[in-house]
Amino acid sequence: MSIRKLVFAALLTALSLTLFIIESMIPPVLPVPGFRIGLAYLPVLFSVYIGGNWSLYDTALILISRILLSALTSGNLTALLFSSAGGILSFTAMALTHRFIKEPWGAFPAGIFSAVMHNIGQISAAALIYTASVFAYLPVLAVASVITGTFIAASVWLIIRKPNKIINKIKNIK
Amino acid sequence: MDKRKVICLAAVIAIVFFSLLALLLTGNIKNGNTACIYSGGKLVKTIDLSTAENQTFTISGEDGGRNTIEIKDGTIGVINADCPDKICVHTAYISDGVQPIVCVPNRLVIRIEASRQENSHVD
Repeated sequence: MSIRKLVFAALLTALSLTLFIIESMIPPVLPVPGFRIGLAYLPVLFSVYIGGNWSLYDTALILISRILLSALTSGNLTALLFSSAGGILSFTAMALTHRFIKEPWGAFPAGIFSAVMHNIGQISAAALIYTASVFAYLPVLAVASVITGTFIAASVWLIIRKPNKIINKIKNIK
Repeated sequence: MDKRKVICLAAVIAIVFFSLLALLLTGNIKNGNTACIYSGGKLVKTIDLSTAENQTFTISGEDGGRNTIEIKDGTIGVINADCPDKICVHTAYISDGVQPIVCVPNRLVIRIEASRQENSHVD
């Protein structure tokens, strides 16, 4: 990884972390614990679907750094467990979708599946720590994450669907 | 149309369909009217909502978290809590088994369950 690409990956990580913090300031839309819009996954999904010289290895690097840094900023170890359980599952979902669909529209299924998987991971972690009754929230969260996943995917798709000068420059960072 | 688009669309519709189905099925379990209050995974209090008088009381968790619970006209809700997110307070009063009230920071769960013996539950 060249310095140029490392800097850009760090930029995406910083963007993801900033969105994560901004998101925690927004009052909850639904009175369901664990519900988030998932803005922090915007740069992550972007790095999956920009293509060019960006590989899933870079995405994993961005995601892991973001999860560790967000645990540091919030100072919450339980949150680290929740977000890493969700992160691993949602990364798997994104990677699998990208494996079969490489066109820009693949951001939609990738966004939706990763959002749903993120919630499944998070609820499973919560069920391990607290009670299994938190699974009662899964149906509500699954429907909500289909909506938020579509929103995140639409944002990414709007950025990458028509290649322009800037996108191509980012794409071809060696 | 691309075959992969159809598969993705079908998968998303399946997720939504099964979630809604699960919501409807859990919504059918409405015969219970006993509010079970769990703190730290242990059943600490059961109240028969159909006969209970209007009252307020406070449950203290093992970590020192306190939730003030109110019973009003056969419904139960949290009116005050010292947790940081206050999600339990923002959850409306409940009277059926569709949605529990959960306070994750204080490890408090309030669920409406079918009437049963207090000691039959091993959690």
